[in-house]
Amino acid sequence: MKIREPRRRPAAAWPAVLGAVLLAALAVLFAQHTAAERGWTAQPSWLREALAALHDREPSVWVLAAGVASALLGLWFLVAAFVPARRSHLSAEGPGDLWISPRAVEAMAADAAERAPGVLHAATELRRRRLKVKALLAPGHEAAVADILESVGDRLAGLADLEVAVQAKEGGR
Amino acid sequence: MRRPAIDRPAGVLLGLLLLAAGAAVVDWRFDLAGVWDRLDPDRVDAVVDADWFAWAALGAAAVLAVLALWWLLARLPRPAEGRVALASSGADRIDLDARSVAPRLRADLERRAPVDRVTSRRFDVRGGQLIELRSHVDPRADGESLRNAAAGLADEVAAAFPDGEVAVRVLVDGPRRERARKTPRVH
Repeated sequence: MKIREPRRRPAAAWPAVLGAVLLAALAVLFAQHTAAERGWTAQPSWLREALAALHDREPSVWVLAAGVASALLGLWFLVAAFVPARRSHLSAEGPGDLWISPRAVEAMAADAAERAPGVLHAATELRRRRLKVKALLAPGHEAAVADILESVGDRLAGLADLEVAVQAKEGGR
Repeated sequence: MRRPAIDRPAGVLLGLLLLAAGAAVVDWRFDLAGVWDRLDPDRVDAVVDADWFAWAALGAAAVLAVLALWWLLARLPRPAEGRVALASSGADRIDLDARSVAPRLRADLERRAPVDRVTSRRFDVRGGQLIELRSHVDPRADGESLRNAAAGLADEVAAAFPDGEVAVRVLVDGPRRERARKTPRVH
C-alpha cells in the first residue's frame, strides 16, 4: 500500500476558498441583474451601474484601487498555486511508519540537553536538518558541550538524521 | 479539511483572470498599451440591453453558484468507509469494521510509547485503509521507545491483516503544553 507522506495544508487552500467566494459573488451579481431587468426587484441593476462607469475617460479612484487589488490578488493566486505543500513531519528510521514533528524533536532535544551535567537551561531550534541547541552552563562546566552533544544524540537516535550544533554560554556566578 | 485537486488549476485560472482585470484597469488609467481605446462601451451596452442577456446572466449565475458551492463542499472532510473486505480463498466474503480497530490502536500507543492525547483518523487509500494515530510527545521521551512502539503497532496490524488491508501510521507532534512545567529542575 503506497501512502503519501504527511504534509501541511498547501498554500493553494486559502486562495481556493476565496476563489469560491468570488464565484459566488459573481453569481449574485448576475442573478441580481436578471431580477432587476425582469422587474422582480425595484432596485436598479448593479451590473448596469458598474458598466456605466466604462463611459468615463478615466477610472475613478475606487475603480483604480479595485484594479490594483485585483492584480495583487491574482498574483497571490498564481504564486500559491505553484507552491508545494511543505512536509509537516520528519520520517523516522525503522520498520514502523513513524513520523515526528520538528516541535517534538525540539522538545525532546531541549529536555535531553537540560539533563546533561552542568546545564542550567537549554533551548532548541530545528531548521531543515540542522538542530541548534542554545545552552546556559553553570560556571566551571565548559566541558558540558560534549555531554550535551552526546545526550541529545542518544535521545534522538534513529529518529532523524540531524546535524546538531551547540551554542553554549556560561552563566554568571 | 480535504485538499481538492482542482485547487491549483482553478487558482491559476482565477489568478490570470484577476491579473488581466487589474492590468486592464491600470491600462485604462495610464494608457500604457492602448487596449482600452479599442473597447467600445456602446457595444457593451448593446449586448447588455439585448433580451437574451438577462436570461444568459441567470444561467451564468446558476452555473457559478453551483461551481462555488461544489468547490467549497469539496474540502469538507468525508468520513472514510468503515468496512474493509478481507481477502478470502473461498466463495465467502468477510467484511471487517475498521472503526473498531482504531480505539484499540490508540490505547496501545498510549501504553507503549511516551506520548499522550492520542487521536485517530481513518483514510481510504488504494487497497485498504490507513489509520493515522496523532499524539503529543512527552519531552522526556527517547527516539528508541517511540520507534519500538511504532514498530510494535505495525507488527500487530500486519499480523492481523497479512494482506495489508489496514495499515497504521504514527504521527508525533510537540508536547501539548510546553509551558506547563514551571518548577525549575534541580540536578
